[in-house]
Amino acid sequence: MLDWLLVLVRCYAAIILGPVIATTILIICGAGWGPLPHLYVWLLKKALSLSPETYPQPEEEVTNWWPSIIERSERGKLQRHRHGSGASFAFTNVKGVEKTATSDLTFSLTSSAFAAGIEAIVQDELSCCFYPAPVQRWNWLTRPWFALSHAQTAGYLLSCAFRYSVLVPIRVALLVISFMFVGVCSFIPIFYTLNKNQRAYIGVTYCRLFCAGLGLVATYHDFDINRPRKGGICMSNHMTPNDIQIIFANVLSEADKSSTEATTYTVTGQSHTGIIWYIEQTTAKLCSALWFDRADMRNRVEFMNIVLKYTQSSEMDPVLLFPEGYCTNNTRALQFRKALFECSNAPIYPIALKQDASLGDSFWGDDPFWVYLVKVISSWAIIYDVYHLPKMVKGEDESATSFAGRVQHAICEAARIEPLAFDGFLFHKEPERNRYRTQQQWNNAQVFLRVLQSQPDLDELLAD
Amino acid sequence: MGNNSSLMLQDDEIRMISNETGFSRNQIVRLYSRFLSLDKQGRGFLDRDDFLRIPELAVNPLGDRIVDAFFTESDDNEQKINFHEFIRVLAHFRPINKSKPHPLNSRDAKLRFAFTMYDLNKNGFITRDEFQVILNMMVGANITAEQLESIADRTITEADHDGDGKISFDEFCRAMEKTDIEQKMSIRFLN
Repeated sequence: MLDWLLVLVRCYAAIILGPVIATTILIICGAGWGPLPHLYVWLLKKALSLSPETYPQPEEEVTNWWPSIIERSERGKLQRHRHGSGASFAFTNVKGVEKTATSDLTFSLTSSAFAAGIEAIVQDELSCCFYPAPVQRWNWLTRPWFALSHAQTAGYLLSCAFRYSVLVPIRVALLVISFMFVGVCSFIPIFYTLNKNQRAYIGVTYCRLFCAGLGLVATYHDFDINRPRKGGICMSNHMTPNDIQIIFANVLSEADKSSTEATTYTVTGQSHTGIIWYIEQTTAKLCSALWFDRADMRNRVEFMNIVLKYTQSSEMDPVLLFPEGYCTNNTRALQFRKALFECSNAPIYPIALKQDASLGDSFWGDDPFWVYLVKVISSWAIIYDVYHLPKMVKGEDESATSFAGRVQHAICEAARIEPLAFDGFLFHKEPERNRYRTQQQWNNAQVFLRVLQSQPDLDELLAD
Repeated sequence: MGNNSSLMLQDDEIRMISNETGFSRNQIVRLYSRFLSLDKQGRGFLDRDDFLRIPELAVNPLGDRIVDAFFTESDDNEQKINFHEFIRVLAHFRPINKSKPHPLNSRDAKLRFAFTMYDLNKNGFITRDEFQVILNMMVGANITAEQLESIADRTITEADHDGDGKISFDEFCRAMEKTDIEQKMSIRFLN
């Protein structure tokens, strides 16, 4: 009896340790699994194509696969002002006020406001990018909204068992190895100064081990053609706090391997506490890094100045920035922060990240980081396509806003997502929402004031 | 999609909702997905904060009134809306299909729902005070109290036909004839 148990334990250990050790050795030697992860993904997707639908497909082909529920009316839309940072509802722009009776105008304006509100409840442009997008077919990762047959329930439990007993230990082991790797390597500078290439190698190996630990299967497009160079800025759309490791994992090109001075990224981001703080400290040892506090105004200004200084020197690595400011779910892209586009000379290297969420969604909402990490590690795979786009430079007379819009559209086109005209502040910050509401109230007031000026006195109205 | 069984939608429930509201199965599934995403804490119901988290509703001056109207329809004092109540309210906004009339989205039903958004205390009349509250929400601090009263007065006077100083449902319907209420209170649901 005990022999059987021992055999089982040995088999299990082999299943777990085999891939872990093989992956570690491959990555440390600079190689990879090649097409095998993609084959795994292809097989899983073929199996999933038989899974029941959880979200109905539209009848016609749509580019943004997440189809709308309603067609919004023009009058109920919140439209950006051409100048400045405000927006107004289209229905507040009322024509022919002078010829309309007061009661008609009052009822018309208020009923338009009500209609716009109900449309926003069913489908609005902004809040839909801050929760995970629904997947078209059930991917057996969580219980779906429809009831399961007995066979499906059994299959679901089996898949849970497989994921938590095989995939999770392998990936946790790889994550631990990646941290240990960096830990060990951080002792080396005590004895021996590392040159740039060696530090770059350590950084990339750490990132690749970390990404393997996340279950990432990524395809990098056009990196050698559109390689970011020193003194530039790289901008990417943002989905997870691990985007940095994902982009960094592919930073060494063929040219770098033969040169003496590799180019990596200057990594930036919001300073956090907890696990992410540890990751940030680790990263700072390996490459130049700038962490800042988004909430602190002075800190942000200092940060911008440092970024500007880096772009003006030809020695500093390209700065990696996420101009959306918040994590979004990869179906839309928020309006980019225009402060980052003020520097006129620095070339921008846009990077578009596209996730295929059918085998696992890595969007970070507001769960705590470790809960999020468990969700990511226990999915089938995280599939990314990373597109390096050609360099973009601000035109002579171009304003920061229009350049920001141009970069946003380029990234959105490559990632096949929709660009939004609003930024994350409108969703996350109440003072911003109050400011927009006050604008609508002012618009309505103007309409009513025009009515008051154009119509005869109430007494005259009652005289007949 | 949590593990809470109250968040599950069974096939016979979908059929029942489809008969009750006139929505197709695909529309119900999409609206359910929207309901689940608004229900951030996965409790199976929505409260005021869940609605007002939608930015376009929060910046709408009448946002609070719209949320109130949802809770009024649901007929309980608890200020919670489950999916049935949510989709029942939205059923009023289905466009009118002359070949397939349905009680929930008839012209009369649409007008009655619109009326509840104005009639705050549900006594069947829109008084001058109720109008002033709504106008106040619309214009904020940008108009003086006298000007506001003047507009409310004029609106009531023009719409009030039986001279009782308030607007009944029939007077409301007549006033709404000029604004194309069927189009305003209809949302183009896609199939």
